Amino acid sequence: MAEKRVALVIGATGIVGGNMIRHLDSREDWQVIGLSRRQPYYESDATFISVDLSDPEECRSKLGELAHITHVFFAGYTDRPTWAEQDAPNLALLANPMDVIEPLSQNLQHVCLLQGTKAYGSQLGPFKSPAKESDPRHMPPNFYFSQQDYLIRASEGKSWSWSCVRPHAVCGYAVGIPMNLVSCIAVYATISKELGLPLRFPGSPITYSALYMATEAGLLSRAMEWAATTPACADQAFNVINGDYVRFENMWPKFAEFFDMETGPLQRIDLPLMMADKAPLWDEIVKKHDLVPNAYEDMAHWPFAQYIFNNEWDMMSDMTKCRTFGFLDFIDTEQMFLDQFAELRANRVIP
Amino acid sequence: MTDRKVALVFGASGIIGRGFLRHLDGLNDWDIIGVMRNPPNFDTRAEHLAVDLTNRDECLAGLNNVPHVTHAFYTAYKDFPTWEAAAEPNTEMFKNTMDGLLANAPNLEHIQILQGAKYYGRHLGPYKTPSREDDPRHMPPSLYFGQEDYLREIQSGQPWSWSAVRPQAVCGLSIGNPLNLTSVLAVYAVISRELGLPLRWPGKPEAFHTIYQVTDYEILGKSMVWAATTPDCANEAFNITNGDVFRWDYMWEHVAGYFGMEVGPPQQINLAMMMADKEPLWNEIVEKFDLAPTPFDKAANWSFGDYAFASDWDVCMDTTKSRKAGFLDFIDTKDMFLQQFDELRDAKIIP
Repeated sequence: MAEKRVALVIGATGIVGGNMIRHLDSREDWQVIGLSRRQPYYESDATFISVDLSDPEECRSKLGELAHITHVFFAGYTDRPTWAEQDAPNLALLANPMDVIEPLSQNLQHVCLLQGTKAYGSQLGPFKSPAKESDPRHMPPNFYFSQQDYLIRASEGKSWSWSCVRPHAVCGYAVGIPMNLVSCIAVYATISKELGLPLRFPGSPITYSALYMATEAGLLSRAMEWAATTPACADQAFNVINGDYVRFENMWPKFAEFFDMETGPLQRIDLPLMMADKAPLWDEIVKKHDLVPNAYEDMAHWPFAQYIFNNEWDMMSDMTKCRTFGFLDFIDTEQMFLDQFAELRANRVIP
Repeated sequence: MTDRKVALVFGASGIIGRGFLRHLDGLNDWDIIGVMRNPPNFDTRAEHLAVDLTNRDECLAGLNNVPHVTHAFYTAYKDFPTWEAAAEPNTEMFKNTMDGLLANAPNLEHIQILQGAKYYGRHLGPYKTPSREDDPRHMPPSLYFGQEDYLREIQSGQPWSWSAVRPQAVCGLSIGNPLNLTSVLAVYAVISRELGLPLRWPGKPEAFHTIYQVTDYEILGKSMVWAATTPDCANEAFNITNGDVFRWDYMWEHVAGYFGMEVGPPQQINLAMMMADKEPLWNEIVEKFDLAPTPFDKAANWSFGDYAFASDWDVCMDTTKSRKAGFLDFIDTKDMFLQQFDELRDAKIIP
């Protein structure tokens, strides 16, 4: 019988960390400890420690007993206005807890780091796509590089290994996490419908027809467990996407159909600006349709949607490396959106 | 009794038919009959059956010695000046063949037709990509529509089933069949190198950067057997590709690297026109490097190169449907090209 693995999931209330914990809960051979500032929004058998990871003192005092961790899954993130400003604080989120746990946990086997397509400069402008893990880095700074380099250095001569996973636009179950494309689209559609508008793509016409991709949160969880426990994956980075590519222009009519709306002609709007005054309308919709009361600002982070709908270049990562190493899971992305809209509806989050 | 299967392959001397015979040669639960006008000039354990498929009477009479056939694979194609002009005669040829087959093959379990990305109008101009099997058809004519419609019609109420596979730009070593991107790339590179030129992109400048996709003949062969023998695939069409997509600007560096060349700036040329006078040079190369003599017109099909390198729109298909149905094979397209260059080198076709 295999020894029980002990996972430390850092960033337990994010969309990735939360889904990872729920995934590991469903597996028999894992004991799970979650770190986050907030209390989890989901039921779980995991132990949660509330800690401010940016504070090394607090990490020392609250994590000083964690001597039995075998696997670390890092999905923490702290937002800053620029990439240069993001670098040091995000490195600290990883280094502070690692500096405490790593010397204590003698059985540490693996640290799996969450990255993303921004490792390829997807946010900077047109980049080489489909991106492969072997592509050269872009000009720093990029906190993904700093975090990965930290793990490379820290694991040198040690018995544990590391891996990186690079999903794109993670979509899945989450509450109060507005950086979520599914709920952004669902809220945008619901509000448009309430106002008697057709479902118009609110971004750039070029983005509407560019290639895009996404990663379903459950698939990402399976990939992270796989990367963390497969010996061949030691010290490797992996793109993890659903495995297909989509264009918003192809999906948009299907979305409109789901919400029982017409597809409208394109109309580019500044979402943060135009959606700023819609909180009262959202509250009315919640009341009218007897929905679970969710605060407007917890439902959609409009700068995030604005960003996604205005990247005027193809967003593509190549999945060949993952497949070659043995991870063959895939998800139909268009169907994923429709399924997750349906889930929001079933949970009475949207009408 | 055994469940031996008997394949009848129409068009067995074409690039796809020949590649498929090679694939079936390795499967010991299959007996093979190849329909082609002349006996095969390559090694195969396939029985040879000469039938002129354009001649209806010959089809009806000539297929009477195949009563034991269980699976028919239709890969035959008769060339015409335009794809549109090919539609009607190729549909007629298919009808002749099917009528002859069905009158003579009581053990028939499955008929498979070979289609391609042209089903989606890939050749006409920008079109909806990634293409899915249920996308609406383009304006007819297309031989694919004519053949598929006839197949659907005659299958109705019958105990046998049909399937269609849709690859894109099938690549594979098929000596004497130059309709193949691997051969075009290799011979173009070798000639450029001999002339002291860098490896220049000869296609449309925009096509250097658009999304493209190919299908390895071994993947195709596996998928054909899979679709023909998997009950869930009955009466369905499947896109079949390597599973990744690429841009030529990326691939070009690897092609140049293989041949020890520099990547030159793009220079659009009409290959069919510019390569027309290179036969003496090719013969010199063959002599100089002691190659197996391949006639120049059998070494590479330049018109096919011109066609493949001219898509200034994305060309790609979605393979989610075949993955869902259980076909998970894939190959890294870059590795495929390099392996096939190796095969050309080992066969002493190129230096």
